[in-house]
Amino acid sequence: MAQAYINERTTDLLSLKSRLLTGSSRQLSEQFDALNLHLRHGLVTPGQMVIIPDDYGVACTADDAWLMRHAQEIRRGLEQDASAGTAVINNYDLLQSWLGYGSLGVGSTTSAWARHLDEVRQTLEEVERVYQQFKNGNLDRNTFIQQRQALFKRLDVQLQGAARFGTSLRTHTSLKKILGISTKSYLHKSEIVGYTQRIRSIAQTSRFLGKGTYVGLALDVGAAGLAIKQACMEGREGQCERAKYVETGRLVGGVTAAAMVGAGTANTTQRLCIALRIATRGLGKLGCGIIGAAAGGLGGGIAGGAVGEGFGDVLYEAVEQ
Amino acid sequence: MNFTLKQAASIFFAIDIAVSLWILWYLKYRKLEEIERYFTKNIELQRNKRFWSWNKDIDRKWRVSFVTMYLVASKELIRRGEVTEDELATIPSALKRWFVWNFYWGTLQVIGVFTWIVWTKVL
Repeated sequence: MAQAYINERTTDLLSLKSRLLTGSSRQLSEQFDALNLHLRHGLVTPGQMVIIPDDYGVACTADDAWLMRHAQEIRRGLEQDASAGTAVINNYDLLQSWLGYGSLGVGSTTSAWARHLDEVRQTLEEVERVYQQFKNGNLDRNTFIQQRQALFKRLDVQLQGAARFGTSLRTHTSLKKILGISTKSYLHKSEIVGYTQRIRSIAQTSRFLGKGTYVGLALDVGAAGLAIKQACMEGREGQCERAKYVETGRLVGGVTAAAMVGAGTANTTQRLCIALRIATRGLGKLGCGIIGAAAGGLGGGIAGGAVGEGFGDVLYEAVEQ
Repeated sequence: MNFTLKQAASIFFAIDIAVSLWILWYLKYRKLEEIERYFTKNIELQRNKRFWSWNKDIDRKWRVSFVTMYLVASKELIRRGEVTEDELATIPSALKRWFVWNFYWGTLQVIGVFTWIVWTKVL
């Protein structure tokens, strides 16, 4: 049966083909082209499914047709939002929901999570490397088992509690399944259905959630602009002028105070967590900081908004006199 | 020009925000590398540094936060074996003060902000 491969980075079809096809027969190459009609145009973007034909058997089986149908569906999903592919590749199902001031306080939740996922990826790659060394005979069995155990231990720490989100490794079964094969990007048939569904849902939501900080900020800029516009209707020149100062002050105050207080609360909550022995170390401590920073960002945004409003008022009066 | 209480508080807080942001910037971009040099053999800190290695603003922010914890929660962290007394003893006190005082200054801001919110929005 042909295998499915999820492309990890933008690449051209030819180099991807030469990388994935182990044999170099013309027949195999033609079959690859026939199975991957959905990839014909231009570059292959991250998240696209590539179907790799068997070394033997030329005829297309029902399984191949099934894979092709799913590959088409994934392509359609990615067409809605190309960035969704990258999101899935980064195993990014913990799309952030803290918008606006909260995420400003943290400095963007997505950013922090992307780093965590990157670490998990590095460990998985190390497992894969050790396995390859063992397969090539460069590592004896005992050393391989020892090294793999150490890496699994590290993975366990990295995947404790909420840290599992976004990694697609929420159950030990799938973790073992993924690690049991030589290249983690190859998928078994049962996993492909889930992958297709995830691509579709993420394509719909990542557009809004992927850039939470900016969405929150844009909403605020929009709100400030709207208030100014409302005040600037005919016959209300005084109010219009005042609104420009007050609303701009509110926006600037809210954003800067969210960043400032967010940093403060990150430290305070981390200190509290250490004192109360809530967080152990590493990601636990970071989690404490993130929760604190989000709360601080929210509080700072509200307070800073009011302060900025007052400051804008003072500026307006000073300019008017 | 007659100032209301709210306007006077606003001027005060605007200066406060500007000063706080400057201190944060100074720690992130002028003092962070200097203090991290004293922890070259600290496994936890090096791990955190690798985690936040993209060198963006958020990376520096969390690295400052991490090193600050070593200084303000030193007793607990020494007990846990995350940092040693010797490592902390080598840091000049002037450098330590920047991070420690920033922590207390930040905590004061946090208390102030939340007190203000409760006072004006809840009570």
